[in-house]
Amino acid sequence: MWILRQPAPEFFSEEEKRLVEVLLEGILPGTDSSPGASDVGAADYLSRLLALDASEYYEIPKWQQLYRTALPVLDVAAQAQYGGHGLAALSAEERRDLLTKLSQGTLEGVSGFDQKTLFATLRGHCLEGCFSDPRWGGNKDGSMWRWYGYLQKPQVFRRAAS
Amino acid sequence: MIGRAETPTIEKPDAIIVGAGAGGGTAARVLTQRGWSVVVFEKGRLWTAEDFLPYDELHFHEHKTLIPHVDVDPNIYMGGPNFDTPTPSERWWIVNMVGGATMIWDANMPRYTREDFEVTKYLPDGLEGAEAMVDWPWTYDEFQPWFELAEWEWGMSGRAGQAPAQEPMRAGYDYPMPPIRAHSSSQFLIDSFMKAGMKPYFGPHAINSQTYDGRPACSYCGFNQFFGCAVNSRASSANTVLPRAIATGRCDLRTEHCVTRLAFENGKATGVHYLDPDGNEQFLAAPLVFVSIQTIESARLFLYSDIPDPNKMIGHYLTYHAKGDAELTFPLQPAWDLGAEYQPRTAIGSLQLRDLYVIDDRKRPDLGKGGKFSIYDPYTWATPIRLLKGAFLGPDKASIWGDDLRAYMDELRHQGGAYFSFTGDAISLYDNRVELDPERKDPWGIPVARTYYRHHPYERAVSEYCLERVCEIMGDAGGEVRRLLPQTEANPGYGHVHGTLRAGKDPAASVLDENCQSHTVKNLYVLDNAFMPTAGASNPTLTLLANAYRVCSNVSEPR
Repeated sequence: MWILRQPAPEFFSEEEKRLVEVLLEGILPGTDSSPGASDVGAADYLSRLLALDASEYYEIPKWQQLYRTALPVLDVAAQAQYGGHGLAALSAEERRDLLTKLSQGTLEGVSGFDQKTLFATLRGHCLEGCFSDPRWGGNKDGSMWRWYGYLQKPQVFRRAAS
Repeated sequence: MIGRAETPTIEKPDAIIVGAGAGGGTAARVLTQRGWSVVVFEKGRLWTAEDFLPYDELHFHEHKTLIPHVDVDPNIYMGGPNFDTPTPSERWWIVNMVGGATMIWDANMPRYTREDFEVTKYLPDGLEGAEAMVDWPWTYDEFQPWFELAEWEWGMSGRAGQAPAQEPMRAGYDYPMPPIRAHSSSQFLIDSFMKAGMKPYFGPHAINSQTYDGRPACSYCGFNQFFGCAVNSRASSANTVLPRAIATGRCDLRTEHCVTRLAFENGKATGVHYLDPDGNEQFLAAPLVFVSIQTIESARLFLYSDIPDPNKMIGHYLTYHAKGDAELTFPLQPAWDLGAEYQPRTAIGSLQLRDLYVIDDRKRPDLGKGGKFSIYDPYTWATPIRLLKGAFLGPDKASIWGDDLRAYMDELRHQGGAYFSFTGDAISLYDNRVELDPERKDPWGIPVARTYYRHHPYERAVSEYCLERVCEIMGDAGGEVRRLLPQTEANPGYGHVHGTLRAGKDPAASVLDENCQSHTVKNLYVLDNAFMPTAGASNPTLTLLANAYRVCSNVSEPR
């Protein structure tokens, strides 16, 4: 048996995690009838994954550095381009625009990291946070698997009133 | 627990076997059955079934826990636009543990057939660049008893005689077990293809459909390729042939022992140099040496050992199968998947389509030898992270996210689909090859393999043609194409790999003789797919196993 060591504390600060959550939700947005990255805690997953080290997976140190570098830069770039809105305050439309530019490497005011690499990394981590076993901290209570129908029949999803 | 094998110590074995995977395990089985003593060297450790629990896609697949890590132990592919840029490549098919790649394989077990053994008859006349294509020095009929032995010793589920294009079997012969549970899409697919004069059939797998050989039937857990089997329903070297060899008391399985050089004197094998688990250099003598560590690795070991190579053949004629895949969705068909009880959640219930194994189309006289398809349900054939990371929502829509990703997932949940994975023959080319990398070394201090590879235009044409044919048939059945990826020219590496130490009758045109013994170093044998004179067009391991039974049953007594 292999047993996952529960990392503590998490890698991201509360502030960083809010920014990550916006980006991940943009990659897999939820609707009222289908869960998105925020509904299933994909950012919690990422924060716990990055608290692990190379003994779990050799790319983790590289990712730690990438996110630490990129998040503040993206936040500033968002403010410059979307009327003073930082990442956390972007509308769905603005978020889509930012991610589209990031995926094409055309976001202005960005330096210190490769935009396409960051986008691909975010996309991969979003899918992992949504579809990995709940033991990793995402896919909360297996809710994405239930809706998607992984190893079971697909089930109806209704977003809890907030 | 992951650890060391505990077997009797044999100081003067009749034979040394390098590698405890498909070929090495089979060699240990056959040779000990003949009364010989063997030492098996395996550079990995012993993993038992429980080490694969809990099943977890992230840990085992995404984090590549069971394969060498590309940062420290890669192959170097000469890639880039001019095929001259050293590029580290991932090796999904290399598994350094007792059992080797049979510990994580898909366990698709088709036979190579007459069209593979006598390939030159099925190639178009005058095909440029195909001068090195040769018929195998054995026939399908000669291999039949060895196929049967492999199918029964390893335990295959399947059924003979389902379709005209299926592998021909001896009258009265059948697999030891019926096929594993079918996918819910099977009848729709069979009906659709029969309208076009083709017939898919349920393929053979080294996975138990019922209790067999003391191992239970498949539990349809949803974890197959890239995962270990924690209940031993899927056959491996470690749960079939090796335990039988060890039970004789004449098999010494040494884990964490890495063979670094093959030793020889006066044109005869004398033993192997190896690193023990503490990294000490050691030597063990034996009159016979069998190597089975996969095609690229065997070529690397031959090159590093300076095996005499008067005709510069070692490492050349490397072949990967021509691949290609297509995915369709059927807007008018409800999703096939009706729940966990109804169909296996992996590729294992797949249909095989062999009707294009030889292309016979008046409009395409330029095409002959083709290939076969495995047909999957796109919704369930792969675990979800892997599936969605690689998803397409149209031939030009990769790496989908946002609304496209939502749309794709909705299609999977609501509409039936079909996913076609092509395996086609390859044209053997001298320049497709393995060399020792001049810079990088592996964790044992040996130069890593450098590979040069470009697919021949014929293979790309075959892949495109066969994919178009199935897309047309599926289009008539109401399908819309979501993915269409024929083989391209480059290939950084792939698990179906063969040919670097070709076997043949002519010492001037081959590295091994007809019994897979080195032409230049007697008593040195190779049992992995490096022996294959040409690539064939099916999953190769059953043919590897049959050949290992053949070679080890025929090899002369030592001393």
